[in-house]
Amino acid sequence: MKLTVNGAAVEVEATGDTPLLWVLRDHLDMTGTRFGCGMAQCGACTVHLDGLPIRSCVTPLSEVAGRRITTIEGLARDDVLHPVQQAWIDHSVPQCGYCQSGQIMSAVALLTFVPSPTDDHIDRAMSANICRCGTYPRIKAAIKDAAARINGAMGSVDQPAPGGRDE
Amino acid sequence: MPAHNLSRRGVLTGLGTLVLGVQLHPTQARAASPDAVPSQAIAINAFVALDTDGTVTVLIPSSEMGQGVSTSMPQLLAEELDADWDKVICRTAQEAPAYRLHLGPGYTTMITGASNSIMGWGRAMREAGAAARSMLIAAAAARWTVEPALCTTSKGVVSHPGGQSATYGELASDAAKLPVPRKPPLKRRSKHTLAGTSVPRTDLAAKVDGSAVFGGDLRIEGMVRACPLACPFLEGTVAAVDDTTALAIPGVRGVYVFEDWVAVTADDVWTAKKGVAALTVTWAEGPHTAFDSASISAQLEAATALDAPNRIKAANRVGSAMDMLSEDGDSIDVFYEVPHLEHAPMEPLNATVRIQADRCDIWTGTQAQTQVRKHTVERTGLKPSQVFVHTPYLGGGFGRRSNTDFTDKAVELAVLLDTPVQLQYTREETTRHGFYRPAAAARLRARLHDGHVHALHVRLASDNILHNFLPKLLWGMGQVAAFPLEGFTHTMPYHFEHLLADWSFVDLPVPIGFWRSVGHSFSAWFLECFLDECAQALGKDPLTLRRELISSEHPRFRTVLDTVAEKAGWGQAPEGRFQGIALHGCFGSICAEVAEVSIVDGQPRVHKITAAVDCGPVVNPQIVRDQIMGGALMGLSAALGERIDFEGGRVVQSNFHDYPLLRMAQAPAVEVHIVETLGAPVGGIGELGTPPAAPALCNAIFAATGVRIRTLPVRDSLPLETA
Repeated sequence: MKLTVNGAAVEVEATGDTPLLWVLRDHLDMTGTRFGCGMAQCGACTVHLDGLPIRSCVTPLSEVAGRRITTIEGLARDDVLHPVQQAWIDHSVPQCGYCQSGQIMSAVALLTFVPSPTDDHIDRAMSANICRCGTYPRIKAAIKDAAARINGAMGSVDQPAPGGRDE
Repeated sequence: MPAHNLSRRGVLTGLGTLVLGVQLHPTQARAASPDAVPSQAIAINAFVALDTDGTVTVLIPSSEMGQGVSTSMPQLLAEELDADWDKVICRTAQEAPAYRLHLGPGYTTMITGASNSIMGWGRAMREAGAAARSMLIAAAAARWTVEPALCTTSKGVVSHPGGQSATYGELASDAAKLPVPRKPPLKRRSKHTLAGTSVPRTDLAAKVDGSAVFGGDLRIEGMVRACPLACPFLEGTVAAVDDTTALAIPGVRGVYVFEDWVAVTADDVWTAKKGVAALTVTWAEGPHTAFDSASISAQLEAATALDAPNRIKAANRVGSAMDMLSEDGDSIDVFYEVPHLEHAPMEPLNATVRIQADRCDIWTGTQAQTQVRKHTVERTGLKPSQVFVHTPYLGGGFGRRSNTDFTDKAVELAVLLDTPVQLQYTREETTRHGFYRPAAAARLRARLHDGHVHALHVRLASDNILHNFLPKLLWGMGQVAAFPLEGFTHTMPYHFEHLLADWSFVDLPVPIGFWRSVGHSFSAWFLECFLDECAQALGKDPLTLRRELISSEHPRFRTVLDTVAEKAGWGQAPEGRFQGIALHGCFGSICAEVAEVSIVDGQPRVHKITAAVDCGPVVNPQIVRDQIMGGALMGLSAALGERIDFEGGRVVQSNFHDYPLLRMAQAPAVEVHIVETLGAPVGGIGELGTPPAAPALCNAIFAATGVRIRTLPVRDSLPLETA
C-alpha cells in the first residue's frame, strides 16, 4: 500500500487493518510516534493526516492509503526545529518524554487552526493527550510562547502556523 | 555513608560490548540512547569516560525516567571535573558492581527508587569528577614535567602558567593509566558554577524530535515481537489453550504457554496483538474468585477496630494515648480509606531479549538492573558475566519498573526462541497486572482538651509491601510495621503529648508495590485531613493548629509551612475560591502545598497549587520545581479519580477510559518555591510532591462545601453538596 510520510512516498506491505501506528513503528521503523493505549485514550500516537491530528493507534492503514501523513520526525525543516519543538526545549517541558511526540503534534495542529489560543482553547485541544509526569503547566506555557513566536515571525496573527513538512 | 568503588574494574563491563547488532533509530540529537557510549571513549573511572573529540561521557548508576538524573548527576560530576558542559553526554551504565547502592549490611543493588539518586550517589559523582580531574592534571604535569599543583583546569582543558595546555581528550589515555585517587578533595560549594544552577536537561532534544530511545523503540536484528496474555484471576493459572485460530493468522509465528500466561510471537506488534485476541484460553480461576472491592473495604474496616484480631504492631508511642482517649471530654473518631492504585506509566511495559550461545543481552526500561540481571542468570543458565542489562529511557517508572515480572517473562520466552524477542505489553495487560499501591484505611481518634490535641491514636490497616521481600518469619518485626506507618514515625514534624500509631496487618491476595511516595501517599492524607478536622473542632485556623503542633526540633518544617502560607496568600483566596493546606516530610525533604479550589455544579475545580519545598542543597532548581509540580499533579490525579477495583478475583479496570488520569483541562497552575537549607543533608525530590496534594485538595473541598472527604477518590463522592 502506498502512502506519503513526511513528504516521502513510501510503500508498505501490511494488512489493511493494521493501525497506522504499527505501520510507522514496525514497518517503517519510525519510532518517534509512541504506543500508549491502543484505543485513542491517551494521544501518545498523535500524527497529522492531511494536516489534521489523528490517533494513529485506531486509524487503519486502509484509511490512510494515498494520503499525507506527518509525524514527529517530519516537523523540523533542514534540521531547524519547529517553533513548537523549540518552545518545548526552552520551557524544559519533557520529563520522561514518552507522551511528548503526541503532545507536540497536537499543539502544532492547534496552532494551525487557532494561532493565538486562550487557556480554554488549549484545555480543549490538549485534553486528548495524557502526561503522567504532570508537565501540563509547562505545555501550556510553551504553546503560548510558540504561538507568539510564530505570529511574530509571520507579522500577523491571522496567518496559519506552519505545520509539518508537507502541509 | 556507603563506600563507592571508583576503580575501573567495575566499568569494564559497563563499556564492554555496547550496542552490538542494535540498529538505533538514526539521530543527530544528543543522549538519544542512554546506553550507547562513544566507541573511542577511554574510561577514567567507573563514572566518566573521555573521547579524543572532547566528548565527556558520564555513566550514571540510575535510570532516567523523567526525574532528571541524566542532567543532575552529570552536573555534579562535571562541576568537580571542570568539564565543558556542552560536551557532556549521559548514559545509564550497564549493570555492574560499581553501580550498586549499599542498602543494608551485605546488600547492594543497582536500583532507582526511594528518591535516592542524588542522596545515594551525589557524593560519589562529585568524587568521580574530582578524581578524574586530578588524574588529568597528573598526566599533564608528567607530560610537561611541571608541578601538578601549578596546573589549572577550566572547560575541559588543563593549563600551566608556562603556557602549556591540553584538552582532556588529549590527556585521556595517559590519565587512564594512573591510579584512581581514593579521596580527592572536593570544591567548596561556594565555588560551584554548574551544580546548583538550572542547566537545561541533557535529554530535551531527543525528547522533542522523536529520537529518544525507549524500550519498545529498540530494533535488534532478527527480532520477533510478542504480546502477553496473563491469567486475569488472582493466583489463577492456564488450564487449556486453543491456538488454532491464532496460528492461522498470517504473520503469527508461535504461541507459547506458561504456567499463568500465554505469549504470541509475530512479525509485528499488531499481528501479535491480533494473535492474542484470537486465542481461546481456559483459565484455572484460582482460590480468590469471591474476592472483590467490597471485601477489601470490609477487611480494612474490621482491622481498624480496637479489638481487631489482626496482628497489630505499634511503630510510634508517646505518653499513654489509649488511656487518655478513654477519658471524658471532646473527641473525634473517624475512618478514612484509600483504594489500590496503578502506576500507569505512559509507556506500557516491555523488554527486548537476545540470547546467544555465550551471552544474553536485555534492553528494558527497568529501575532494578541488578534484580533483572540476577533473574536473567537464573532463567538462562548463563554466568552473571555473560548477562548484560542495558537501560534505555523509561517512559515513566513511578516504582512500577522496580518489579521484574515483565523482564522475567521476556527472558522466559526468549529461552524458548531461536531469535531475539521484544515482549510488548498492551495497556490492558499493564493495567490488569500491576503491583498496585496498597489499599489502606485508618481509624483516627483524638482527644481535644484545653484548646489543643491532647492525644492522638491512628490505627492503620493495610497489607505490607515489605512482605514481598521478607520470609514470613520476619513479618512481625518492628521495622516491618514502621513501613506502612511511614509518615507517622520519625519524619512526622508534630508533637503530641500522647500518641499511638499502630498498624493492623491485612493479608490481601493483591500484588502490591512501590507507588510514588509509597506509604506516604496515604499517611499524609490520613493525618493532614484529620488535623483539619481537629482544627475545625477546636475552632482554629488549620495553619495555626499546625504551627502550634510542629515541635521545636523541626524548624525547617515551620519555615516551609510559613513559606507556602505566605506565597499562597493563605486566608486571602479570591471570591468563590477556597484553600486547603498540607505539610509532609519524606525521603529526607519537606514539602507543603496549598490547593485553591472552587466548586461548579458539585464538581471541584483546582485552580492552583502553591508548593514550598526544602530538600537541602539543590543541584538543579528547575528539575526540583518540575518534580514537585509533577508529583503534586500525580497526587491530585489519584485523589480525584484513580482506583483499581476487584470483582470475581479479577482487576476491573483496563485502560484510560476506566482508569482516568488527570488531563490538561483539570490541571491547575502550579507554583513551586524552594527554601534551600544549605547546611542540611541532601534530600530526595522524586516523590516528595505527591503526598501533600490529596490532603490539600480535600481540605480545600471541605472549606468550600463543609463536606469531609474520607474515602478516595473524590470522584466517588460527586456531586458535592454545597452547604
